[in-house]
Amino acid sequence: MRSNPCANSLERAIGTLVAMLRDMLQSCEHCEGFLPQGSLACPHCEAGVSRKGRLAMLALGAVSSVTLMACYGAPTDELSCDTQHPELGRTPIAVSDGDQSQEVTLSCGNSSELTYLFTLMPNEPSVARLTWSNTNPLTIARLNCDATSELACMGPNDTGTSTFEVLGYQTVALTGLDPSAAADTRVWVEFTPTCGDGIQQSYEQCDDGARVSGDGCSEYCFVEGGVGE
Amino acid sequence: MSRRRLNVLSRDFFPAYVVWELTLRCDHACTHCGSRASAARPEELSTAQALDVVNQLRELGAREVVLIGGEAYLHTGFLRIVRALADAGIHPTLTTGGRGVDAVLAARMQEAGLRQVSVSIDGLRENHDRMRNLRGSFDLATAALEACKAAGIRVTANTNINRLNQRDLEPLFEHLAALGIVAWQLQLTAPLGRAADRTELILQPWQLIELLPRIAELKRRGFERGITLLPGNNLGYFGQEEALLRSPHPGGKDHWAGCQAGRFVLGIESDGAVKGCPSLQTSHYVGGSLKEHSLERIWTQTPELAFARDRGVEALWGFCRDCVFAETCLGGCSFTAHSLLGRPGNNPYCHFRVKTLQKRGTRERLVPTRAASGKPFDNGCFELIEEPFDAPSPPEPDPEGLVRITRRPSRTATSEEAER
Repeated sequence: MRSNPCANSLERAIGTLVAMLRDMLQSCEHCEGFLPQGSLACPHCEAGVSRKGRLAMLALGAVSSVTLMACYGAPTDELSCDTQHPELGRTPIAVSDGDQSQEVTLSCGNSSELTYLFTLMPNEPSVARLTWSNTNPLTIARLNCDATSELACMGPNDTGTSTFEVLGYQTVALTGLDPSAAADTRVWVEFTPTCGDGIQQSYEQCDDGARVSGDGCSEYCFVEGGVGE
Repeated sequence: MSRRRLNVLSRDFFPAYVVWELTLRCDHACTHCGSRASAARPEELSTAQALDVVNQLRELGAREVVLIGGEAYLHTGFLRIVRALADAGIHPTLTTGGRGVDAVLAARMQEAGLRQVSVSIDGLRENHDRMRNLRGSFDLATAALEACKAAGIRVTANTNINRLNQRDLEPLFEHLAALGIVAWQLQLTAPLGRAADRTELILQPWQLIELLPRIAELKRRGFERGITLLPGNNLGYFGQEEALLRSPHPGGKDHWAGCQAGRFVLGIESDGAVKGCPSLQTSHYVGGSLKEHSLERIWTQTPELAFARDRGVEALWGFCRDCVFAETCLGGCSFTAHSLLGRPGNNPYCHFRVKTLQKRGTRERLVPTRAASGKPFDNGCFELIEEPFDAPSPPEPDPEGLVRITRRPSRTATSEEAER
């Protein structure tokens, strides 16, 4: 009997997805404490969970990435390496997921900083779409601890767009702004979950372009009916 | 590639983060040391054996190795091992008490490829020296941070929190910030090793109610000062401040996601014993020795390394079994729970738990029962007494009383033997 070489990876994908569905936690709208799965009231402040909140708990919003720690180990320095980079020295602007595009204004007064940092924090694997308007040449780059990869290089007076996949937190650097023009520069950030875009990618088992269950491909891009059926 | 940030829901387990005790030889004899470090273990890995382990770690995809001891720099092959790790593409890090780290050693470590050091500082001068059992230790640790920073090594710190030093946290933050640290790890002193002999030293669970908000405030202060404060695995759990405490960036939504021992974390003892986390009890969690088996075999085939991979809520007991966060939390830190109650799955050091009990008008008090055996990474046992929240608290001993041995190790009736 021939074995299915994909079985293990499929099983792993199933396990991962089941775990994500089980472990996803949303925050209380009132006190910001985490809500257990299916709770009708916040266990911290006892406020009721709204219908919107309950629906949000059904969405795929797992925090799946964590920072590994050990009590005889050491605190990781890589999380601070972006802020400690000798050429940067600025705490990134946190950009969380949301219903609307988020506008970030680079208004830094008379700062002489030439680089601006964003930490993109999507709730689930997403395509991040950055749109900006500027009057001066600009580069945009993904920033990792030990390496930087350039995403786009824009000329003066461009309105640019860059899209890329973000699986977890990702710090992005915008470099080359004229400090005097910083206040005039705007950046818009929008996250689009990769699940539901019709393209099977990343962790997805399927992607039929819709986020509804019952059509063979679940709202979480998981094949319905079990493996091999 | 992020070294320490992983999707922990993946089931493609590999030892991404490794803590490796190179030798148990130490130039301190700390009162709270979990490994009871002082003399070397009888048969520690040689430099040649250690270099072979580096190759095995590379093959398994290890991303970062923290070298500890004892004092790792007292291993004769220390610098060669640092260099081998760096050459293998594995980020080498050092956790040290700092006594022997002067400008010369700092420069040699930097040249060998060490880019980060974490110095253990457990309070201000008086309390640190008392815990470390050495007058002048605080000044030496401070000098070590200065020497490493001057040599171009990123400097960080780690601190154990207990009844002796918990009031030092805020001024200690200022001291460490002035030294230029970029990250600070805080963890509770658990009754492991020598700390198991000093039962007055450890916090009572209800003290987390006052402690965690203070740490959250320090975290906010850290964000403003470019210092990443992260709690160790045995601190926190689903209080209102959980996202703030656990997230590396302001506004983050990270939370505790279960013990990662044997999933993405690995511990190696200096004689080659392998376990899923460096703090786990040697008697229960060693899967095998690198002198006898390959790391790949121990990682993939021994149940001691796999205990946290497939367990669910059914492995929990006590308060944790019925907790609303049970499926996500899975009982918090395994070695800490084991050090208190003899097995994992029920952890009284939990912010959500103590606040829930407080709402019910009760609290839990840890009362020592069995002694530890006196071996590295051993534990005794405690009884958990639920009492009214406003019950009289035990009198606060003087500082010397907190580090005094209150439960002598027993080599005849150890807790490990009693559990077997």
